Amino acid sequence: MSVLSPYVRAELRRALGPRHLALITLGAVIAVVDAALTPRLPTFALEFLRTSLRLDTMADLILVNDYLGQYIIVLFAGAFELLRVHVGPAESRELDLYLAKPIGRAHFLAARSAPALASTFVLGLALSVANALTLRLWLGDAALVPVLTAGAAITAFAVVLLAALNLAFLWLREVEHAVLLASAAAILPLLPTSVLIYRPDVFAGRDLSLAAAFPASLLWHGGVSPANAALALAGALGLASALIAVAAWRLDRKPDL
Amino acid sequence: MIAALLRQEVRALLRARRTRLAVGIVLYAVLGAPFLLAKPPPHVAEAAATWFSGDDPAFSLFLFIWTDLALNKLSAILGVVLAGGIIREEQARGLLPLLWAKPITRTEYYLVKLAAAAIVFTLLIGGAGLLGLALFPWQIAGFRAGPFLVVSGVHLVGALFAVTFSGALAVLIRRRLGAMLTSLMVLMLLVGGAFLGFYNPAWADYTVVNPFSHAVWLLGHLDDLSAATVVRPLLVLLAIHAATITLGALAVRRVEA
Repeated sequence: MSVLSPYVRAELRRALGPRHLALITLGAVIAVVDAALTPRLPTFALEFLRTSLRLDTMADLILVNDYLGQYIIVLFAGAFELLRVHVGPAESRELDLYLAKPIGRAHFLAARSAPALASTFVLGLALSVANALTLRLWLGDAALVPVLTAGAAITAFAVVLLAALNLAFLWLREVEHAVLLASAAAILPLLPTSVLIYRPDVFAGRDLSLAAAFPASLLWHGGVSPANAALALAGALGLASALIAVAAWRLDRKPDL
Repeated sequence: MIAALLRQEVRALLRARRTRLAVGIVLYAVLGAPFLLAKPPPHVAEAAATWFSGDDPAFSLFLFIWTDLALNKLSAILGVVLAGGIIREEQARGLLPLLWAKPITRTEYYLVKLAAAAIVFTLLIGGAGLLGLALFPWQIAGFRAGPFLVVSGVHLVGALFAVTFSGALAVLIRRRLGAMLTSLMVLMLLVGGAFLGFYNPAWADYTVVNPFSHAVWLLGHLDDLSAATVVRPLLVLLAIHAATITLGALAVRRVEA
């Protein structure tokens, strides 16, 4: 007999679907096109990228776009999955119907949020593998482990950001409003990269942190170590679980639905 | 009746919370652009002189930052937020049987919704341009209002593709969230590739399929902003819009209540 309730099992079954296969394919296509086009850029453009983003090798120049693509795909895919938790049902006035069933509010939120974040987690890791394999196929001697560890760090960051968004979504009742908020949250961590490219004087005399040029900074100083990647994944799972618990607590005490 | 419906749709969109958040994001983009341009490093100034035409590389760089960092990303997101859920939003609320019973055809209703989204999009992106026109002469050395208005105006016409495309996908793809996510991913890819023809002139012919490339095409012709030069991207963009709007108008006939 399963320890999971039929409702939780039903939500888990919906978590992964053909849409995820389509997103992995999109990520793989981006990685292939990127690997094919970047080396063909004129020398001047490549030097511009090297100087602006403080990268060294051709592999780095290819990977920085792969990482950006992975981050955008994972974050938006996850955000759209999370719209099914509260905003979508609230907008279409289905929330009362769901909660009229013998399912508690907290149970409902956790049962919908956790599979959505778990599927995002799997998507991020799958895209990491796709990026690593594509780079290996294109450059031959490219190392797989640094690509996988950087991909894991991106996934970990995206999952925590999504768990925070899931909490914020409880205050919204309009899908498009939530999409706009998710877009702003997605772009925010990328803004320092624009500052580094166009205003490097802002960073003069400072040690550049990981947040200074995400995701290019994941390629600096030898990349992300396997230990740090494992720590990031474990930390992200813990933090995301805590944020889901807070969201469940909040929905449980929300006076109006 | 159609004019009254359009007025009501525009008013409803202007009152929506998403539009208020969008205004905040637009303001941030307008106010942030001059900061990025205040002290461009030598390699960025050199890149602007190499990639774009014009006897003033600093002004070309400003227009690049303005169209790429500020307007392009905003357009992709706002297009989806304003038009990515049209018709499907009403479908989710169970309103379509009522709407289809009104003395207005599905195509007319779709076109009214699309026009309302386009008007609000124009108010937001065009408003950003007008606000920039008021602020930038004080903030940007060598700012020239004429070329700024022409480049921003043509860009706006091109950026409206985000609205027409999102609207078409909204009725072509049955699932609303799937349609919005697909629109967002495709628009992000197009925005990301908008300047490829500048980075590598050998690829300029391939960017002909990208409306956002036409939207920024004038950056390569700043020395010659004659009527003939300006009309070329406008004609291409209007043809693309006509095709996309027609596709949506045909697809909406098959949408079930």
